[in-house]
Amino acid sequence: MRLGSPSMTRLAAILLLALCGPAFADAYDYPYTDPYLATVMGTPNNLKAVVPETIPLKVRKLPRIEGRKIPDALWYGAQLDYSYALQKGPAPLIFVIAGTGASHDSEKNQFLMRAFYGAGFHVVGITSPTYPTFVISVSTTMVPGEQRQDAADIYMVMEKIWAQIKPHAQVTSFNLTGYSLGGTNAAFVAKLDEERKVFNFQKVLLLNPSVHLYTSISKLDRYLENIPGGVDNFNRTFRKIVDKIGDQYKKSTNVTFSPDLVFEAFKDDPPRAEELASLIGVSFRLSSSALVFTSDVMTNYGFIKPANEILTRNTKLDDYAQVSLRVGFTDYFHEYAWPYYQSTTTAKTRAEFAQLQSLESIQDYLISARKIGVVDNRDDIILGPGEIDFLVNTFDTRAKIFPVGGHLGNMEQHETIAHILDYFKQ
Amino acid sequence: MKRQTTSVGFFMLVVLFGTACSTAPSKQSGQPPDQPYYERDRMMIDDTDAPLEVWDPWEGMNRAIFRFNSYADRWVLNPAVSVYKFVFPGFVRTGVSNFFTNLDNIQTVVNQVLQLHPMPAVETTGRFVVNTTLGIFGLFDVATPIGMPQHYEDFGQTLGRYGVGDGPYLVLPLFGPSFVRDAGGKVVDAQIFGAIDPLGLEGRPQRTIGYYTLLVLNTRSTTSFQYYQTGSPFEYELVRLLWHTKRQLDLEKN
Repeated sequence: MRLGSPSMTRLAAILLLALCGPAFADAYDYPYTDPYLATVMGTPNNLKAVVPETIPLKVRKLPRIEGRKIPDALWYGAQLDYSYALQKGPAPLIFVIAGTGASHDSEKNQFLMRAFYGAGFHVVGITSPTYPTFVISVSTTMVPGEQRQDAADIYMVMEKIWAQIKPHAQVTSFNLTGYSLGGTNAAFVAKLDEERKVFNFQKVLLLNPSVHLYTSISKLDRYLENIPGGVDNFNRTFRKIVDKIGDQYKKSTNVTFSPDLVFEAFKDDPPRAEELASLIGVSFRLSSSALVFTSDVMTNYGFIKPANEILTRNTKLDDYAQVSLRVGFTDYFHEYAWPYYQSTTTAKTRAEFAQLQSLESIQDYLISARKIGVVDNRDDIILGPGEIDFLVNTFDTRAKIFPVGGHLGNMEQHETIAHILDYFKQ
Repeated sequence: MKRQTTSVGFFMLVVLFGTACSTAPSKQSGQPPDQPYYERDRMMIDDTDAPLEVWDPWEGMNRAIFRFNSYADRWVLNPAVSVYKFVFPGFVRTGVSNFFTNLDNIQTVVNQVLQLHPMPAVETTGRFVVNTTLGIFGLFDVATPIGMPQHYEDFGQTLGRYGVGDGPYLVLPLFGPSFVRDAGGKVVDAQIFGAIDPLGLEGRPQRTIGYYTLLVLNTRSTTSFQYYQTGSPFEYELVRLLWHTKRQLDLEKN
């Protein structure tokens, strides 16, 4: 038997299989089967996809939309940052939309951008419409959450970015992705692009999108009820999280008060199972409190800040911060966004308005648009009953559903990234 | 005498900023405040333990300095750090960082002695000796791989250990978040450093300038925080809370 002969190779393969056993036989080796734990812990380093350590990322600013008056207290949000990295020669370009309350350079956005850049794409990171600076500087209504409006705002941002980088980039095709709420945004942006036709996206991939926004925000709000002793003990859980972040404070590489920061702080020492859900709830509450208060100051609706009170740069905000931390996404939806949009939306009822904020409301389009795919996990904690089935029925072969991973816990996993890159290369 | 003038000047600065920077919102003239939909008193009933509370009587001044620091960062420190990172490769910057960490051990030992903690003081001394000799003036950290722990103490913590409260929150120009106790502690630590003068800075202005330039560049380049990157309108409150928490944890760790 010569070395390299077919039988020899086969023998070697069998031996290898016998030695490595499960690792080879079962390709999907994500370790956390508890979806809450997965959401907090993310992907262990040894299972992460290999992506470039650094890419030539540049950060630029977009001016605020014309006529926008910025209140003194929100002076820092007058411009919207975005980031991009361009290949030397001609290449496809991909926009990456960040998730709830996250900016263009959130940890997850950066990871995706590094992966795509490594695979030969021009990459552009887009801040979520729910991030305060987006609300302050470029949001048309300053009340994010209405999916068609958010898509129009994102589209405008993309057009402005494209105008800025066009002279420096040779683009062969435009592509689009986004994670979490950014995934949902991507679906609505793709639909809008069918009318506007500025980009004519070649491929679009939704990563762990929210299917019904209302279901997701209800679930995230409800996770706070899991706090031992009920929601009145919010302070104690909050304190605990702050202690942990305080410990991590100087070490963290990217200090945004997004869920990522909270999860990062708990990675070395995850809390007990029953506390995990409340941890996730509180971390999203940090994002929503920033969003709710920023929007209220911008519209001067009188939701948390009295309408005739004008904040200066030095105004003490403690009380508003306390209240904002007690206001959930669903309060925002019922008492603020719905009243705000009631006169302009096509929806006749609150329930109809909620239904409009769902992938189901554009299902016909999603079925027919062969360029759009989805990646999700069977145990994603922001989805309600039947929503995974909805994704499978809608996207069919363009849906990739992993058995476990929680909400984006496995996003950096080598199999997930490999699938994502493959999808765009086909 | 000189120090006296400085503290008088500082006091005047506090008074000036403290009065000039009102933390009250400005109201539209002649109207009583509207009731917001979610009013504080309705939302926060019975809530005596508000999680964000930190004693901050000079908030107006602190907010102004917080903003000043963000400008200093944007226009001076961050560009300087970019140049620093461009000119010096990573291993050199690691060496510089190790050097300053090693130098901090002097301050740490002094405070460990003042806190009557002999064992940690011995550990820190051992670490300092090993890194200063084998580690070539502290440029290389050989003590950590052989299992010698790194401690950090300052005079603010020493005062805290003897029961001195942290006092009002104070944002220091360029240094950032602090408390009155810790700011006083910084002055004492600086005096001790000046008295020991391990680098022979006394009477050598060029060396002194070089030392402080490098110190600032190293400190800024090893601190990841960037102003207004959190996006939160409550960034000032959250940073204050995190800093308060961090200092409490520093005190509790021994």
